[in-house]
Amino acid sequence: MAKGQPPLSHHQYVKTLDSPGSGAAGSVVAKRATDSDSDSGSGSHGSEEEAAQSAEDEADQSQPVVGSPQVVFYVQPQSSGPASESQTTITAWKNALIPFLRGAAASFTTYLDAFKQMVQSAGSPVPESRKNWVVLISSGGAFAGGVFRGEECLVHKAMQRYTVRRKQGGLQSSKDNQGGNAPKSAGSTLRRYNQRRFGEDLQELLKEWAPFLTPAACSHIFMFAPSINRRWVHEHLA
Amino acid sequence: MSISRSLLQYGLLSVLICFWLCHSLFFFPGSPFEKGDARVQSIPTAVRNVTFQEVQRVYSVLSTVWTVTLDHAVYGGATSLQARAPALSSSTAAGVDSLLELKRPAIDPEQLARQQVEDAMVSQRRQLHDRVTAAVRSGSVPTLSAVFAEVGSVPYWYPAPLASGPLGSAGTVLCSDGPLHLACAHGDTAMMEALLSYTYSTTPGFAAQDSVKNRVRIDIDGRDETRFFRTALHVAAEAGRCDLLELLLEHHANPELRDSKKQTPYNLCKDKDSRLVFRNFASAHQDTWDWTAACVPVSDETEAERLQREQDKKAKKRQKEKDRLKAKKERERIEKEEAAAEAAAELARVKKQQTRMCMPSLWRLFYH
Repeated sequence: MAKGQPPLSHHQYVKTLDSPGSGAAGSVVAKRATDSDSDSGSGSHGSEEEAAQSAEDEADQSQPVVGSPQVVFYVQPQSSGPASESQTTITAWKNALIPFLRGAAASFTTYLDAFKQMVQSAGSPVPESRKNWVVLISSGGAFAGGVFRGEECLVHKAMQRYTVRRKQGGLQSSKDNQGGNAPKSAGSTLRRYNQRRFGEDLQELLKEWAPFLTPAACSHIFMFAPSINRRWVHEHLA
Repeated sequence: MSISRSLLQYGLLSVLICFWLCHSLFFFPGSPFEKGDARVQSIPTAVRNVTFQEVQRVYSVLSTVWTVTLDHAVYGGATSLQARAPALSSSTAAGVDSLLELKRPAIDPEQLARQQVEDAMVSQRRQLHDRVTAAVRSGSVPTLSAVFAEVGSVPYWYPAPLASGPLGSAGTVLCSDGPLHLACAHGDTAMMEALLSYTYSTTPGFAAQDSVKNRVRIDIDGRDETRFFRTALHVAAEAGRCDLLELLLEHHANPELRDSKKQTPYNLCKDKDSRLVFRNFASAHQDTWDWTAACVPVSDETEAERLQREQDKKAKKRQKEKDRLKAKKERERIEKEEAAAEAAAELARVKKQQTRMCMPSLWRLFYH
């Protein structure tokens, strides 16, 4: 990620934008996806004209956004003073916006709506109306996860079991599934047992966390689990 | 054939079991979320290791909105601001509105005009600075005086403040090639004296005299921001200019200031003579500066006393050596005399023995 100043809280951020002299004078009207892989001439210099163009081209805006994991909104300057020399962009992760699409097709307009919703729900004065964000990471025989709301972490858990074969790498189940006879050594038995128990532990944990994960309480679940994810992503794209 | 088929079946079955296992890891019957749930998203960044710390990092990355402002006019680069959108304690709906529908008053024409005036002033200052540095480089005092005499509405200050406000209110223009620094590097005493008549000091003890009103004012402790933030005293010390060092110290240049490498002027001295200048000044003005902070060793005696003491020490040593040699000579002489006396005594004893030995032989002669 690009480095910059340390993150501000929402309150500070809004204050920064309000202060005179900040470059973010204008309104978020035009937006364009980042071309991280095909970014040739469309750098920040040509962005103003492009912003103006895309504001006019409604048809162009409704194109589905593909390619980049992030979506970039251009803040259109309001006045044509010296401040117009500066260009402000706001970058957000698509995966953080998708839950706000509510099934709508992915496009610039829907992403902008989703962004507004995200900021509004984040800045809502009623703390109860803010929802949990959940991060679940699992790889090999290890799991780490947490439930967050704003700055605070409600619950978190990390656990690990001996399931990965020493020196060789890979789960015991993947070795068993290579064909032929599954090894019957003491170690393989142990790993097989641990893998089974790991799954059970995880299920128990998720059931325990169920109150945090209901649709009413939780808006985002970010999941990383290589073998699962791959399959899941494939299904989703198909 | 049957074996291969059973293997294939077994393989397929195990793959299915594997999928079922993996699938069941998070999406098991009774799981709090389902497969098609829009809330469930993959993590679009690289995940390093499976720890809670990583979970926190992923959360902070995903919940952050990056706001980047590119200002081509001033920097040609980027200044960036970051804001974490969902992570917040309290905020108002008005704040959200201002984020999304930013309403700004148009730029004040008066402010614009003021900005232009200031810009013009800065450029005038730059031109003036160039003329001064050129004069110092040429080494001619009359040229410098002429330039200073011409200074009019825009004063010449070094370091030059960015805005026209009071001293130190705003930032300063990047200071390189200060006139004092240049004079230390390749100037003479006359040039330095000419410059020092315009200097002021920001040290509390020697507060700026009335030079604030002056049209030309040079901070004697002005730092060269392009060369390790060194003051003129640093430059003079490093160049070993003893005459200029003395002048600067007499005009209250601060020897305690350290450059960006944490070195004081005394630390930068290359030879004994320039160090001596500092030490002499320190012993003469012990209360003026904190000489321990300036890394200058201070003794109560003056340089002349120290020399005298050293000479005395040397003379004493010489005398001691002389005495030692004298004693040695004396000892040797006594030893020699003693040896001679002993030798004489031995000779006498041998002669006596010889005569005694002769007697029996004579006696034998008689009786044969």
